[in-house]
Amino acid sequence: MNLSCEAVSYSIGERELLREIDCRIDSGEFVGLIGPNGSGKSTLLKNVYRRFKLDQGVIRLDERDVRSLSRRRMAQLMSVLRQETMVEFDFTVEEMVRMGRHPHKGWWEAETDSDRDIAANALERVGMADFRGRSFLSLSGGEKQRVLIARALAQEAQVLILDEPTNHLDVRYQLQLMDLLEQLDITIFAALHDLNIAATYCHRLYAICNGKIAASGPPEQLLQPNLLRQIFGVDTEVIRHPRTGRPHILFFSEKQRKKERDTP
Amino acid sequence: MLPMEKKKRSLLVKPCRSPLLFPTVTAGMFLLLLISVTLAVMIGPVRIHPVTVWDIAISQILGGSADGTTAQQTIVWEVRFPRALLGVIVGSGLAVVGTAMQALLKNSLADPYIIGVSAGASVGATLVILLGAFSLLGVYALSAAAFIGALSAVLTVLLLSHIRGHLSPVRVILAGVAISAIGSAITQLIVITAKNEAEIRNAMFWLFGSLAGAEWTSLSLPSLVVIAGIVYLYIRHRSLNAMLLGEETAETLGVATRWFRVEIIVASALLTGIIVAVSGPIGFVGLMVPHMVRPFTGSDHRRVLPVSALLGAMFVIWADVLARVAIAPEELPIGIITALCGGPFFIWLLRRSSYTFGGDDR
Repeated sequence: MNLSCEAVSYSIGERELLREIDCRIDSGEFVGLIGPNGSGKSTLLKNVYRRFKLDQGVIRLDERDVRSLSRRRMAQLMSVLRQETMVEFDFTVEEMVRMGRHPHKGWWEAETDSDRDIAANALERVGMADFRGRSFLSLSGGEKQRVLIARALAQEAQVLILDEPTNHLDVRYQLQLMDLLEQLDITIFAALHDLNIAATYCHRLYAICNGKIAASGPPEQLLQPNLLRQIFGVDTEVIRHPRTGRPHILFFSEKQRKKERDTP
Repeated sequence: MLPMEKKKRSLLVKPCRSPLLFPTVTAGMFLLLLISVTLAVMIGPVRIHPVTVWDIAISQILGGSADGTTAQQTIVWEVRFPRALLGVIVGSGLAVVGTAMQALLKNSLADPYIIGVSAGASVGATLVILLGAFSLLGVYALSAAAFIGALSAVLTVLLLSHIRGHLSPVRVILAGVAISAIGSAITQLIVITAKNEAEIRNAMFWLFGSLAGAEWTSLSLPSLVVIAGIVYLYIRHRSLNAMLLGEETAETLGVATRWFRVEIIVASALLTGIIVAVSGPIGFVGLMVPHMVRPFTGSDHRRVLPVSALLGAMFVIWADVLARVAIAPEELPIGIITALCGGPFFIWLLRRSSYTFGGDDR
């Protein structure tokens, strides 16, 4: 299932947050969305999963305008993983994952064995099967995130939207999570703040700046010092990672550069 | 797993794991409820033996003659039984409305009384009495007006608590307090200035609520509505669960949150209105009961709703027994008892470090 945005514009009041965004994620592709804070990454994703109502343009899932879909149908086709903060109301890990079955159940239907199997399978895939009966709130950040992925898997959607999924995770869990996502045979569109993670895992990247798509292409092509300076305002050196062969970005600040220039 | 991952385990209560535990607990609570009803019928100025209680009840339902004297029969069947059953209806109804409102607003402090819905229902009901309109329709007019009052109150509160398209949980409570105060004031004004004193119940009834007016004829509508309400909320348990994760997550899980909100608001207002029309505004039941239940059931509404209904019923029955016997032969308004329990409970909820005033990303 492919996902496309055509000339999507969105503003809140006078502020134009997205301007004529065009992008297309093909079936089975893992596409990253990079850009500095406030560039419109989350805003674009929120338009995609219809948290926000776009002003102009159209977003399609397999050529069907998402606005024509019911929330339920939408959730059958697209799952969303975002930063979730739950303060008080607690669920067990299993209950949490079973919520992924929500779009597939009419309100008159009871839970079936197949729902339970799907949920158990999803937990197995993220390596959290032993945590079934545990309280969600007692889990560490990495464990929580894995449970939420299991919920998204239980949703059995063909498209997965991720909003900075590795935020607040230790590096080990970041890599674990991305490995897991890479294995999935579905269409993924992810806003990523870590450029090296994006470079390592994504097939293609969109760079967004001030609500506009600044560039797009495979990481090797897109991640160039010029573009990175233009978008993120930092100096970089892009090397090839000796082990993975993927682009790897080394950053240095203004101050470091000055020091470099002053010392012969 | 890393070693550090293993040791960090919280002490949060584990919801019941065994598949048989939950049905057992529910059945046990149902039994306790039956015992509570029996005891509530036994206790009073005239003490009645439990065997006599059920003998009279069974003979009334199935026909045939019972042991008790005529006076006992009247006390048991015409006075105390309807009263205990009204307690069951009111208690279970208020408890599930509180549960639903807490999920809908993602707010631990939500309750029909605190949000001002009960006060709105009182205004509607007393207005009908004041105007004398629909007096032919009796309890139905009262209930209909109470429903409209409840709905107006909850809509006003929600309207006042919207900031830039988002519901502010703090404002819900504040607006609720204001609407509640205005509603109570109007109700009191109506009650005090009303001329047809025969029809109007006393000021205490509309201020604190009471089950003293229970009669068989006034039970049928509320019992039907409350049962329908509980069944409806139960079959919507999955969406209620999703709402606890916040509106945005609920949407991504396929809940049409706007419509679902409307559904739950109308259902809550309906239940509250019908209940207030027969019992007056009894506070804090909807606040306390779900919080007492969740540590044992977890947050899954498939469990929280039935257990809350049972516990709410028991709570109101016993609060009413206490109201009858505490200063006998005088009677306390039941709302005084529930407020004396609920007030401190409210403060405890506020002081708890992890309480939720709702809202996920604001």
